Amino acid sequence: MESPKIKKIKSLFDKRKAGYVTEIWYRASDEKVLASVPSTAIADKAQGGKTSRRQMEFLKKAAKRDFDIELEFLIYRGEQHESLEAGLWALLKDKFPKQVLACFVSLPKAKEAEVWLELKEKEKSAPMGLSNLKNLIRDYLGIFGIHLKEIFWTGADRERPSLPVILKTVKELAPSTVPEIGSKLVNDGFEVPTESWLRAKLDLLRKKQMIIRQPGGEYAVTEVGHRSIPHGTYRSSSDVQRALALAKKRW
Amino acid sequence: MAEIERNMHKVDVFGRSAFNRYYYASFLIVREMLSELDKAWSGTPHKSIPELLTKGVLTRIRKITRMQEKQGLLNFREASIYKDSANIAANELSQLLDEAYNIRVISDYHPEEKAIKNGGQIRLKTSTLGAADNWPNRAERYSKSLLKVWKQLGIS
Repeated sequence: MESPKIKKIKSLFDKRKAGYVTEIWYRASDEKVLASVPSTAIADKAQGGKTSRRQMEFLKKAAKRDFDIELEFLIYRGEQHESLEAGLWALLKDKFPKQVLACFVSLPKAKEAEVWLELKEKEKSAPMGLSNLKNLIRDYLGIFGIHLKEIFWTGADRERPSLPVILKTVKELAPSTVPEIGSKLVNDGFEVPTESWLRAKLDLLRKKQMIIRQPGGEYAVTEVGHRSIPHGTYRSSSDVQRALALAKKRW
Repeated sequence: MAEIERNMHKVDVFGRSAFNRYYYASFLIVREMLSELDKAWSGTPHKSIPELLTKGVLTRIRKITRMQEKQGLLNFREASIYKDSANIAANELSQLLDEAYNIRVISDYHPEEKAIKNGGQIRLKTSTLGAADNWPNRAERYSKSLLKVWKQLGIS
């Protein structure tokens, strides 16, 4: 038995040629009509049997305006998507069993994929190995007529700190020396390759006039630097961290 | 006949509670990540999390990368890597929780929708248990990815 609400939504979908909707049902708990759409049916433009986020917004408004029905779309990963990802994962597990820890595929647009890879040791994987991996993924997706837009690599290993992180660390510890800054960064989970690497980064910040180097070799943040650091009011905020570091410091 | 019905009932009961567990595992992972990003986000209700991810979290990341790029703290390449990877992680997490939440609601409040066994897979509405089994794994990985960007931008 079909409720009148579902009937109305169905007629709306028919009129708008929304053939990509796989199922329609009524949810009594919040009195909404739900329509499921596989993620593979969503494209930039609503055409050729595909829909777009804009069109779904439009349909939601039309349902509200014309029938006073709250319509909601449930986007799910269709079987096509699941098996595409499972196939790639099986392939990578077979060819690179020691390197690849996880692999997910997102399909932000029709026929376009972004692959998210977690490698055991990103920095240490030979560049040769990485390009083989990339080619294999590109070829695999190509079989399905899908273009590889980008691969996001992440590693289980530590990352080197960005300039904003180094600046923030200087702020928290200032005045502080290179070894002090380095060990704080390592404590915070970053990789600092060498002291001279860190020195070069600090020099870069100094040239941007965000920090100064005092005659004793200690670094401190300038006003320009202070303004560049994101801050909040929580424990992790650089202001609070700085106060805590000051309290521990022996002058 | 009664035997078949009993089996179908078992599949339904098992399937529903499994979907429920997979949702909660994923939800808890994402909520913990959000509270690490910003304590103010730790109490976000279930229904609001998908939108918080694509609006609140991403807006903050975009604003800060833009600022840091302008100040020369990040170069163009770094800024786009951070923005793009946050973008993909937040959108995937948002969609994952949205889908999982809807299935959870069906499994808990809509007994008329049955979990059924089909071709060796247990399915409830749009999801298979095999896919749901991967929810927490995906939630974990994408959460880590967002945290990493957050950290590299010096936000926390």
